[in-house]
Amino acid sequence: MILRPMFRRRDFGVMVIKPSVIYQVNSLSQNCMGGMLKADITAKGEIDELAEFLDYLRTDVTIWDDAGRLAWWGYVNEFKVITKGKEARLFCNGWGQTLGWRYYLNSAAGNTETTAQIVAIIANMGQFITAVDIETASGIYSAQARDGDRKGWEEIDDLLKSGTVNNLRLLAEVTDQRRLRIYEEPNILDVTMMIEGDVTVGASLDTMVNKTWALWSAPGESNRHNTATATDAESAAEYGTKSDPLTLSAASETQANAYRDAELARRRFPIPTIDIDGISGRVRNRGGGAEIPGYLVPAGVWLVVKDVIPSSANTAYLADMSKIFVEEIEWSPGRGIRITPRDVPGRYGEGV
Amino acid sequence: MSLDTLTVKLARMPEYGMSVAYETITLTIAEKGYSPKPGDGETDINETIEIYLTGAAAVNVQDKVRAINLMMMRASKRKRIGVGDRIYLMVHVAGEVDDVAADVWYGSEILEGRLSIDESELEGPISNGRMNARLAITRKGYFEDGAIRYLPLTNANGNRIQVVNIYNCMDLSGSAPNKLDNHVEIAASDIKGDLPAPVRFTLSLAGTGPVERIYLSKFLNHYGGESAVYPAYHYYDISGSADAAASGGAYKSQTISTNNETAITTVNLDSVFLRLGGDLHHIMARFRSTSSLGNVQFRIVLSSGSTVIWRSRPLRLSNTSQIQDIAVCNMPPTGRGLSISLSLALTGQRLTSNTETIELDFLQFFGREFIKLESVTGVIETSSIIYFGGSNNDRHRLYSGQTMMDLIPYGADSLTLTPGQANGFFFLMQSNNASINYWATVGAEYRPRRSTI
Repeated sequence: MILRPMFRRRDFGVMVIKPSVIYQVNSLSQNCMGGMLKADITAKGEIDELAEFLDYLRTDVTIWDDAGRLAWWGYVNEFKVITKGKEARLFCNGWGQTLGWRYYLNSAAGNTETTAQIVAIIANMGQFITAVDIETASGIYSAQARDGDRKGWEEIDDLLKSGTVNNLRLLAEVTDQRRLRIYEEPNILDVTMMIEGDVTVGASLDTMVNKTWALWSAPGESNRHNTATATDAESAAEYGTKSDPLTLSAASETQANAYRDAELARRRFPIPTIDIDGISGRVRNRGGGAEIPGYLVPAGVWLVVKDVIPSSANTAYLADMSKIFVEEIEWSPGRGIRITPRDVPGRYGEGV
Repeated sequence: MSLDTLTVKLARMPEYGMSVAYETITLTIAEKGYSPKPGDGETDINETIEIYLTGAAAVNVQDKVRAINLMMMRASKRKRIGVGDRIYLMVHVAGEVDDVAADVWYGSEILEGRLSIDESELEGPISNGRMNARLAITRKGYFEDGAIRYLPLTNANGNRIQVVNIYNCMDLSGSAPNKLDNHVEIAASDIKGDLPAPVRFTLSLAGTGPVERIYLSKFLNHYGGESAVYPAYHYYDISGSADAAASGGAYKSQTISTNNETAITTVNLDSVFLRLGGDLHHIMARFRSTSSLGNVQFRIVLSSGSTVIWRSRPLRLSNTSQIQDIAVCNMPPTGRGLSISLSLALTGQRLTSNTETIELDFLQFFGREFIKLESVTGVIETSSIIYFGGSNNDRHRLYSGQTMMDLIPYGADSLTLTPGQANGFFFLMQSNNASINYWATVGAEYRPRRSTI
């Protein structure tokens, strides 16, 4: 598959004259908290053609394959022109990164739903975001006031972490239409893709936590509060008690309790690590069919890991090892896919 | 091949491809002969041709050396900066003629080259008017026919004709040559060569009003037991409420009054994916109106029985276009002889608190080779003659007597012809209201490609 970048002006108008260069996409990445992350592009050609990239900062970039599929979108964040090799490097960011460009101040009092707070933050400082689509309202309320010493994305990140009343995280994606999409983390049963390839499988007690509480501070406050402690009795009986606190800033007690409960649900059993070899890793629909190119595998989805653990193995007190959640994924033509998985929830109904 | 079998020459031709040669140099092949290396159509080929140069005197031989070196320099320049004349290695097999008894020539574009001469050739042989040399070249991994061939096209409006009418749906209503048909087919026997070859379409817009964008795609039949293509398996007319302006005279109106993901339509693919299975398909949709399109999030959901096996990313559609590319779906491969309950659903989830209404006219599955054409200005005027694709990746149009280089393609550089089987092509045009009666004429031409001579 050939990947081809297309550029638009900073005002999103079409570029009529484009440099006569040959492009090569070196890597693409995306994650479940913001969407498209990074793209690294090389352009080769004569120096006077490459010099046109001097005016390409913050231009809009979309990357398409030759089957007409949109693989990546964002903007040019940095460029380098290398005269010796007659090439230019374009380092691009996803539009979600612009949410970290400005600080957010809100002096209004009172509690509002956390997802409504995200809408307000975007209205205030999301200069490149065209709209916010809340697919799942959080049902969690907290103080909306912010004292302006943190950037917009930091505020949004904390609100996403506190999740929903279903004890699930909220995820975010800035779409190719520059709409910010807020949605609940998908159910582990809602899996339609599988991954196969050479794997390294392991598990460690290091990330297990079966007793926890949250240290939280309200917006504008420096002193911290403690939530009540929560313990997972089943995990503690099997492995012994292992505790660790959580921290949350600019939050409310309700948010902190929700975060505590969600994290306990996720980390109560030892977390298996499943590393897929990038070159051998292949992703397909569960029904089989053609391989999905690595650059089209999205973040924020579950993948079934094919034929990893023998059925005879006892995994009753480990988190589900048959599936991984794609927290972040990077693809490059040389290394294939590299998945940063998230810890998986337990198998006894959490998140269902 | 033997000395008497092939005639080989270098030809300098215009940058738009093989046509009238500005300059040719016939190469005299040395005794060991020349057999072109077979190519795969994609990878460039490096090869060396042993030749000898003759002339009445040494100075004449030197002139030939200079002429060849100049050609190689032009080839390198074109490879480096993409402009300038093209240099071809032209080959003719003795005795091969076309329908009008003219010699058939095949060309492979040279990308780089160098003429090298042994030191020993510089004195004795050259003084006798003959010098052995080696021409090392890098050329494209295929040969193309020197002559362009027009393709006989078939659809409901004509059988194997050069130019045929296409419309904006495939309900096949009306009478030829104006049946509503948005596809054309090319028979396997009409596709020469043994490598995929890019096809150049000439599309003359004739409908009322301008067009925002045009979608083109190739489709094939993957079922080895058949030689034909079956466009009907790619087309799903959605029934429901009557409307003469809708494909098949009807469309489906689906209200979405809850926040749940709601099926708008479900198509049964049981035996269909026998022919479509194992490949990518763009799921194209025509909506009767843009009502609610901007307020609903759409997905394509592929299910086997009640089990969802694939779900597309959610998509917010433009609320100004009735023809939409919803998602690209990987159809699972067919299971031979197995009865599999496979279905494809278009779902919608509202993002407002209002009751949203989606009016769906038809779905059509475009193929993996896919192009979306737009104009820089956002408008492609009717009466435009669009030239797109082919071995030179044409992408321009003629309008009001002027050549406009304002087309932006997304997807492939050109659609290709796959030899050995029938090929089909679909077209959809987003005009003002994507009228099913919007029409154009289409013609196609190509240069057959072969891996070697």
